[in-house]
Amino acid sequence: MPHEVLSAVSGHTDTPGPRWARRLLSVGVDPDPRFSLANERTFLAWIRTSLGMIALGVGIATFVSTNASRGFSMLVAAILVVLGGILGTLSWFRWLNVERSMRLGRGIPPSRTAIYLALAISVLAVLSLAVILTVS
Amino acid sequence: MNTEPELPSDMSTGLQPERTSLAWSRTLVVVAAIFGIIGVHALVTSQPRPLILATTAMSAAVLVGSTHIARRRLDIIKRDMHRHTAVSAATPTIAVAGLTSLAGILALITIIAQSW
Repeated sequence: MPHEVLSAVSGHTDTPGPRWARRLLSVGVDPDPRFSLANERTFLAWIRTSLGMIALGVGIATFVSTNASRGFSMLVAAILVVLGGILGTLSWFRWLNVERSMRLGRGIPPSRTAIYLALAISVLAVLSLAVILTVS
Repeated sequence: MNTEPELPSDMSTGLQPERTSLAWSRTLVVVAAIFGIIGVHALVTSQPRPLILATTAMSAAVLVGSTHIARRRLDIIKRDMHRHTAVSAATPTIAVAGLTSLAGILALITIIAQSW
C-alpha cells in the first residue's frame, strides 16, 4: 500500500526531524518524495540567487573607484546586500509554504517574490545605466 | 495498452537524491565563497580584525564541512526513502537560510563601515 494511503488511513504523518519541524509540517499527508526533493532543490536555487546578489553588492563596494558615482555605487551595493539577505529568509518561508501545500494536496502557490525581485533588479539596472551615462 | 516497464519502488526516484546532494554541495561552496569575498572586502578596506577573522573562519568552516554535509544529506534522504517516511529538510534549509541572512548582515556592516 502506498505510504500516502497509509498516512491518510492512520490519520497522521510520520515526518522525521525535530519537534518544531514536525509541528510546522503536521498537516495533510506525506507527499511523493520526488516532489519534496524538487522543492528542496528549488529552495537551494533561491539561496544561490540571494548569495549572488550579496556577492554583486560586495563586488560593487570593493571596486568602486570614481568619486563622481561613489555615493550611488555604495547605495546600490547596500540595496543589493539587503535584498539578498531578505531573499535568503523569504526562500525558507517559500519552501515551507510549498511543502505545506503539497501535504494538503493543493496546487503550488504562485511566487510573488520572483515578480518583486525582477522589478527590483530592473529598477537598479536602469538607475545604474543612468548613472554610468551621466558620469561618462 | 501500457507499454512502460514498471520500476521497483526503490528506483522510482531515480537520481533525485544524488542531484539534491549535488545541489547542497554547490550551494555550500557558494556560501563559503561569499564569506571569503566579504572577508577580502573587509581586508582591502582596512576594517576591524575580528570581522576579517570571523568571515574567514566561517568561509573555511563551511568549505571544509560542505562535502560532509552533502554526503550526510544524501544518506538521510536515502534512509528516509528506504523507511518510506517523508523526506524532511526543515533543519538544513533553515540553517542555510540563516547563514545567507548572516552573510547579508555582515556584508552590510562592511559596506556601512567603508562608507564612514
